[in-house]
Amino acid sequence: MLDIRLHQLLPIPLGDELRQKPSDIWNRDFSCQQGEFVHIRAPSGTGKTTLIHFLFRIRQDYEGRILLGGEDLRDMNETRLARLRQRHFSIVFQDLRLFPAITAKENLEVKSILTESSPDGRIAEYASLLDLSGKLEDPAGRLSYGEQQRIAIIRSLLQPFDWILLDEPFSHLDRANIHRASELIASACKAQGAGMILVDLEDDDHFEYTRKLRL
Amino acid sequence: MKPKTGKRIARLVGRGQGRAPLVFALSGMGIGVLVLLLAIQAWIDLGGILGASSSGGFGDFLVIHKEIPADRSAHSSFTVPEIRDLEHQPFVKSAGPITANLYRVAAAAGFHIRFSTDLFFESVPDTFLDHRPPGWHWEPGDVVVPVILSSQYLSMYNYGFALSQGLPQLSESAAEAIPINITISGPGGTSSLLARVVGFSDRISSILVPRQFMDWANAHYALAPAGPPSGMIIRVADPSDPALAAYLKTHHLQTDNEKLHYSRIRVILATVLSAIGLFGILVILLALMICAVNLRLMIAGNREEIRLLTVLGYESRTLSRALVGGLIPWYFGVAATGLVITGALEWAGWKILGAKNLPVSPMISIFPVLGAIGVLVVFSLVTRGSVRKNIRAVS
Repeated sequence: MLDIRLHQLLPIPLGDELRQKPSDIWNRDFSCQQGEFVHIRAPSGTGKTTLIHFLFRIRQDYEGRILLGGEDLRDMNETRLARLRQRHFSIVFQDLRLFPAITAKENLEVKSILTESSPDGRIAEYASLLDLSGKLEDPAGRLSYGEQQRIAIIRSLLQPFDWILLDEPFSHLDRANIHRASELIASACKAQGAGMILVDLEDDDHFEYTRKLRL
Repeated sequence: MKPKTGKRIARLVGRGQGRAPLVFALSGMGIGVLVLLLAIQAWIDLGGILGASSSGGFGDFLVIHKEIPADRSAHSSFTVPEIRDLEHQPFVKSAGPITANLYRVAAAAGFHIRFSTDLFFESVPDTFLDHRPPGWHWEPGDVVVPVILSSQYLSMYNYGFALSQGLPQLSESAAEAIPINITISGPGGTSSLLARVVGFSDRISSILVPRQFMDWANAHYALAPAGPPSGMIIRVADPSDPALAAYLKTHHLQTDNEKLHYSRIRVILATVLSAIGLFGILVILLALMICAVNLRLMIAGNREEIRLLTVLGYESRTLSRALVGGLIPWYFGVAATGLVITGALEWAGWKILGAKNLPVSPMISIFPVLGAIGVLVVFSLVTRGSVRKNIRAVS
């Protein structure tokens, strides 16, 4: 079980500002067990994306400690970090981070051939579920933002994981697509006994959250 | 990592780069490899040609004697301190005494060759012989004394003596087949023995007998302990060493100057070939640098893609393998082409030089092959290391 524990975590650039504000995460001791669905609500500028980037070790400009299964995230070497991102932590970025020049399908294959954990046909199955079957051969850069967001969601599910980090994952989706995407994510999490941390501007009921927190 | 992964990654991060820098780098590598391999092969061929002429010694063995002064006021033998001094010179790898006979030797050939003469014998430690021929062994009680004859002496007999005396000219094998009656005499008595030529030497201009025979005969017939050596044979690292020439001059020693000249030619050729080989290595290094810079620019130009791949879980090791993996077949092709051209030139050299009676192998030796493998390995490791370092820097 890969539990997450935060000890007095505080982003250095926003330290003085955030230290004064009440928060369930910043500058506190916080922990959550694998399998939990955690919703973190926060207004703009309070560090939603920063928190996700800290947890995925894209940024390390913070005070305090992040422990994953008891191991300090800062102490992981390159191989261990790559392994973490391949097998234990998946992510949907707020800015999606697709390769615009290659097709949507190739974007998905970049992930699936790395982990080699998705059976043949999984990409087509997920694309069909999210109404993207006709878009797979289009360059990702020519898809609408909503379509790109769904591609990013599918990419995050093409690997095994213990936790999935979602940074405003449905910001450009309509209700029907949100429903389909959230069902797909929830079933993937349940199938693997994985947990979820979703950060968003507003409260929502897309998932059966075990905890709702304020950043 | 599957080939599909490598191709996809290379396609993702290899964009925006023309083929020109790669072609330029590979051309440089090809020229450098070819120059290096040809220099290596030429060095080996040169060794073969000179080795055949100097009996494999490369002129590294020198027989030295003391100069005989005009008034004959000094002894021509070496004293113990003189031998020690010689042995301790930095340019001398090893030194051995040349022992002369202190008894009289008369020889007469049997069969149809009516020939008799007084002779001399010398002996040297076996390690200084060109090679140890079969039958080169004597112990008290043996009737036949094996002899190694200087090749020059056989030539002198064939072209200088036999013609004027109406004697048959002899090939080496014919000379080896002739039994020679020898008579040894001195204060200790007289004995008749048989001598047989068992080999020829290009290195030592003398008539050599085994050391055991020389010691036994000196003790029994000269009734004298072995005297000081009449000459020394030395093995030197570099016969063209100025310190050697200076030592010989200062100590009034003489040697075969032809060998020294011959060795100097060899050293000069070796220096020229080394310089050419070094030039080849420099061209290879330059090509390697161009290749590394090209890859660095490619990585810098695709830093966002590399960062994203790293975030998705790709290791720098995997990415560098994917990028360099596409280059390895090119490196292999260039090294193989260099080997093929070297092989073709070697074959042409064998045809041309063989017609001029210069021994060159029709096939390239193992060393250019090892050289090509070495360049291939260095290119692969350096580019992979450089790519990995640059990927780490941007990710």
